[in-house]
Amino acid sequence: MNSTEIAFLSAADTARAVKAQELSPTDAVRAYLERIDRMDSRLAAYITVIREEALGAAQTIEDRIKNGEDVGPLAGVPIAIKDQYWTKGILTTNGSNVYKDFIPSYDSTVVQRLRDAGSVLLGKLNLSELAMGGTQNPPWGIPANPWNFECTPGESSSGSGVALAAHLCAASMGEDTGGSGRGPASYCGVVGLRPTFTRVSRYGMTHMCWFMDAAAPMTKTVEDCAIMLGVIAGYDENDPYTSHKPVPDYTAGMRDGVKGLKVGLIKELHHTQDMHPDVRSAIESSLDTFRELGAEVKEVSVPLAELAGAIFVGIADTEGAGARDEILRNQPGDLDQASRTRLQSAALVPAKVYNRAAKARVLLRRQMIAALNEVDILVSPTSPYPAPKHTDLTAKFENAEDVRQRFFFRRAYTGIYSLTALPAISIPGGFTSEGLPIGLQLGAGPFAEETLFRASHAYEQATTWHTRTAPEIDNI
Amino acid sequence: MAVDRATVTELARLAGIEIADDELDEVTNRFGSLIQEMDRLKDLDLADIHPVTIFPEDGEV
Repeated sequence: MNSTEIAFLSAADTARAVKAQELSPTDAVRAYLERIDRMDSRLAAYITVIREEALGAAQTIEDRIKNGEDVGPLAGVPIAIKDQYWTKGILTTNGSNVYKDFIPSYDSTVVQRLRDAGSVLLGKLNLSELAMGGTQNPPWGIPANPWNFECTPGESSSGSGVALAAHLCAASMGEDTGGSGRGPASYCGVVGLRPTFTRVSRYGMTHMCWFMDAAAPMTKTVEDCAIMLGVIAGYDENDPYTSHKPVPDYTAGMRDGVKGLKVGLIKELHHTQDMHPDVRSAIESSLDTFRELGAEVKEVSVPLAELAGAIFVGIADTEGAGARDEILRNQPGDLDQASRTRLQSAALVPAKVYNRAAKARVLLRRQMIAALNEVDILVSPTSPYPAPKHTDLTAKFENAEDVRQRFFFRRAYTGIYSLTALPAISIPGGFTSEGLPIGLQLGAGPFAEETLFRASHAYEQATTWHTRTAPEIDNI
Repeated sequence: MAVDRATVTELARLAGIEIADDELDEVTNRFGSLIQEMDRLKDLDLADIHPVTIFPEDGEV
């Protein structure tokens, strides 16, 4: 295999080749480092690349395999991590000048488990400031969407999406509070999962909203995502809220198909005039695909869904403003203008409004569970429109209606799962006429990730969206 | 709740937060829109609902 062929392998195929000693982990790491050297000054996916450490870790994996050891399910797989996860001795910026010199003294549980599974860490990935969104001038550069450099790769796990779409790593970790993992997955044409809340430890992760933040594996394929979740999921004594439920082999039933499954289109997120017509068409085509594969398809209702974006912001931003109170008071000038005004507006939210949003969140959960009593899988787009241009995303808001359109509307699609602690996955679901990826979002009941992987794998294998290559990377 | 620049300025003063003059419109638009959206929740019957932060693994709230 040449270096390009190596870099285009899925994580699962990389691990299989490494275990079979058909691919040296060192060669795999070198293939990605060469691409990072060549492309990342344009893409700004990485904040920190740990070249020597990566080559050293790859050599160790190689030696262990030669000694006959089983090094784990991610044997020699080069990965990269959103710079929100703490990494021992490695700069962890949270995408903010506030943390530009922060070097943690320990690894987050997610990072530790990925290392223990045999993966090789290439570096830390760019993100929107403090894992929020809309950052106007990211200190480590504006991440470029490999499908169109003028467009955003999504937020806040921007670098995690870019690095995958440009094949600058085999798999990445994002983080998903209100869609920060699924959104970039959608805009970059890759896979992104928000697991059930409490399924994965958040120990050693900088928080935006403590009771909605979730670790988000992001990958090139559904199989990779199932493997990644299997590695990072499970109880952690350092995060006592993690579930004690056993972690299944998420790949075991992945190929069982969707025959017999019930798939429900969330009608409140579909019958809206503000949805991009190509996105609507892609979602309706996906329903046809599920029917052809043997699933029963129907519409379901979640009446509060259209307000989920506002409910999410009312809770998460207010929590975030509380958690960032010291920064807001003492270092506001170190924040990006968009982060500063977003946190300042959230800091003004009256207690009664926050309480109403918190209660509405519980009502939304009841509505989602009721819908999931009718079907196994919920369907919607991950975003009602494809990746906007950077300039549109970061433009100042003209008035309150502009905020509703550009800020709340999109967040309803991903926020419904964040608010209700339910798992959801974004997978490649088509392309617009202009060649931008469209994300298909599937959701399921608590701890039903196996069902999610079963449905998303069936859809992935029945389509070719995940096999397309971003055109812009050929021009670097 | 009507939101204008004066409302935001007063709330910021009470909260002890300094908002720059050239960012006041942006904060007002963000805050005003959020309050407007939250007002749409007023019609919901939320009387018997407890605002839990973490949902139980088994069973519902």
